[in-house]
Amino acid sequence: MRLFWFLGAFVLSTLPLLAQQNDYVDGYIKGVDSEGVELPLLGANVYWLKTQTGTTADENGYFKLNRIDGKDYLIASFTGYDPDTIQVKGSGQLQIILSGGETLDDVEIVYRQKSTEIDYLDSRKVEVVSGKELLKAACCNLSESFETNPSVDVSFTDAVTGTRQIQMLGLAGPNIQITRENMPDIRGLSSVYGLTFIPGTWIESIHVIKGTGSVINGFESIAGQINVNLQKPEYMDRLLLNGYVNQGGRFEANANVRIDVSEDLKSAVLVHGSMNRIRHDRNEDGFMDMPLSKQGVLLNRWELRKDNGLHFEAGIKGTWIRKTGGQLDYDPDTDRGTTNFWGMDLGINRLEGWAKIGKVNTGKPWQSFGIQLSGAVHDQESYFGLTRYDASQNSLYGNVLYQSMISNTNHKILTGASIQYDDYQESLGEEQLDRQEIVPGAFFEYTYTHLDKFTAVAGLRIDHHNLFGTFVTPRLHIRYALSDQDVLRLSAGRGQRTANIISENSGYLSSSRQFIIEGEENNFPYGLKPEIAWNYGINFTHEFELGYRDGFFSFDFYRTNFENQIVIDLDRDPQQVVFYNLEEASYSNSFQGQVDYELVKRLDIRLAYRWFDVKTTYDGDLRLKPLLSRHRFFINLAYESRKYWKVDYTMNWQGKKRLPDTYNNPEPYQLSEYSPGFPVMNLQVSKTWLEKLNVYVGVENLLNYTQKDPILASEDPFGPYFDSSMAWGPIFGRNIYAGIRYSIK
Amino acid sequence: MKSLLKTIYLSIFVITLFLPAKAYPVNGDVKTADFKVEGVCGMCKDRIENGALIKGVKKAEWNKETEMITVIYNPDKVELMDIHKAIAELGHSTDKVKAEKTAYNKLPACCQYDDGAHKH
Repeated sequence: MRLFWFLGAFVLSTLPLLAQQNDYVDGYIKGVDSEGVELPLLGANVYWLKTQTGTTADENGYFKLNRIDGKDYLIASFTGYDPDTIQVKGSGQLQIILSGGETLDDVEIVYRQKSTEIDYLDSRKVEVVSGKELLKAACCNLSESFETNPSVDVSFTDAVTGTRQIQMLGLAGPNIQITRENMPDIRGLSSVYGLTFIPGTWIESIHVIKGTGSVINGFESIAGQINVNLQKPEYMDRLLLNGYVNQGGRFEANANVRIDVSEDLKSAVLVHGSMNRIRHDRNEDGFMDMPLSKQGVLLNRWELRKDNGLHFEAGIKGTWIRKTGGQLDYDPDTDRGTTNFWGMDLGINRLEGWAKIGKVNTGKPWQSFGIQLSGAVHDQESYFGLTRYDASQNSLYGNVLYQSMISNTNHKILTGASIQYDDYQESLGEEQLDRQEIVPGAFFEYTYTHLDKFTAVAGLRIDHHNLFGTFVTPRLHIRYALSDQDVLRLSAGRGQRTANIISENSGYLSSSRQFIIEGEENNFPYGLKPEIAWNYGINFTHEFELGYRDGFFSFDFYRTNFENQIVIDLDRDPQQVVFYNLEEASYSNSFQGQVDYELVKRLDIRLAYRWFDVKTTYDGDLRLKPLLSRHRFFINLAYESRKYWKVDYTMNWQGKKRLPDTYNNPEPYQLSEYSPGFPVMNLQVSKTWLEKLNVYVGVENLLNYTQKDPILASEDPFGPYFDSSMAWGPIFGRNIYAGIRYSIK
Repeated sequence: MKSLLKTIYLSIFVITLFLPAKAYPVNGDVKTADFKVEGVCGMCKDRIENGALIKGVKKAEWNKETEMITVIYNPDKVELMDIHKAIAELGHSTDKVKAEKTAYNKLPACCQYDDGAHKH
């Protein structure tokens, strides 16, 4: 509590003195509606460019603002209108007319900005990973898009399936709410594999937010939120063609096409195909280092934007994946379900569709109404050695939102209701695990804004889960700008989700570990309680300019406390993976410091360090979460010449990771207590001609660092000690790649 | 926990106190100039700023709304007119140098400011 007084006093002490004895500017701010009628904008904000000094307009749209030495540009803004910059000349009264109207889904054009930015005004610390940033690591899908982002950790789930999983705040990927344009996307059965369903060239930008998100998007985010914006017909290139090939034998082809049906109606077709048909075994353990794969993804989306404030979007996407891995000579047609060779094969078919309707009240542009609808059919069939795992999920989602304000735009409200329906059918070996979840809910969010200085967003939602009952999700985000360069943010909130223990941990199916679920006799999924956590965070960002070049640094600290968690216990017995409800403590502390700066002209550097303390009670002992490094260092250097030559270098050093207990195994199959720390370096060179043609060549894992013997008992895969899930490092080693991109604007 | 938060808060506070808000070196050799450059979008912004950042130019910032560029440069190393020329070479006319037709035609259709491309 004392801390809050302390903070409060600090906040007050730094409030600037707005009154100055200079002369002033005054004028009127008006908006134009769709019929061309002008109306005064009560509560519109006016402030001097790059300052905190401003005022709001009264009921006649009139404002009066003191001048500041050296400041000639005014910014006028009002919700629902495009902000405008006005140069103040002379001393006459100003007439500022704002036009345009935005809809609910806060369209952000992040195309071709600085590669990673943190929005100064957002109440949450949103790291925007732009399309430009994504080009630094040229491959290939969402799971590989975080190579240059220190906030997201990427590792392999096991040494057979080649599946990359992401982690944030030291918590596994499913704790992150992954949304596509603010609608639920990768969740449930697809929460691990789903990252590969989004090809890199389809991504327009990614928003990474640590801590709990907004209540508008649901109750599920615990560690953070990743919102993926796909290429939108309104902003994307007319045509983009991309081809990629790497040393490992992976081929990829992508095509994005924009179709302008009319001025209002636009469409886009996105096509992706990839395959890997070469069997590699560089570490000579008899297993393929990467699985063979074939993948096709197709998307078609439509966008209609009318002058009367109506905005409609719809899309459909189909995903088809086939993967085969395991021992080199494994052939699924003859060996599946036998002990001839150990093999993994996996097939996923998925179809999803979504629609969004938004309507802005053109007379009162701060009022808007929106509906979001989506549905998905997901079907997976797989074999891991002798174990068959089949799963399907049918989901429906609906969200209705209404946005308005109380007296002026400094007090905004957003309210609505949602429903989430999921029907799961899973069978693991002989066991059938089916369930249905139906969760209707309602939410309310209030946003208070004081100029550019202070924002508070308080949200509350109440949901009723058909199995777990009613629960309340409060969330709070506060932003305070200490100065034009310094922003302090606080966040707190609750998150809840149902763990899909088998699909989220399917990496352990590539082992002889037996799945043991210690549930209770109830109708809960797997007999286990929901995961419930509280997350608290503080972060600070300072922007600076040094030697005429921009930079920023930021620190953040997040704490997550689990009220309940499904513990994944690998330590009790090396032949088992045991799932049970948390009995005592489980928490994650995470700290990250980062500096971004243009070191010399045209050379950007990003340095980061992050630290985790993630502990869970395993059978009564509070222990470090396994296969997670406590320390990580990160360097990225990016150079771009005037003639569009680009060189990118990334170095990631991960500290040692705790390995699960294996002392009950015979000696040759025992692992050490910790893995070693290791660096991974990537390098890429690219050149663009005429802003159309881009060619890139790169190397992943330049130092060729690999985990030695990533598979335990690889010579006896049907014996009790076989385990490929102890993957802590790179498996394939150095990988050279090249690609080409052709675009028409 | 509490003491940790306090430590973090205090260290942030101390760091902010020591940081200059804007660290412009006081340097008599450096000049600032503003002039107009025609362009319509974020892509134009990238191109214009990239074009202006020739040897001797320390900073270039173009504003899409006002179409004004602010350049900070060292007059011993570069003449202001050279910056105008460098930008015009990439197809964007300035208030002193008009872009050649061949350079202008190389611009993507969405950036052709003289042929009806609107600000976007």
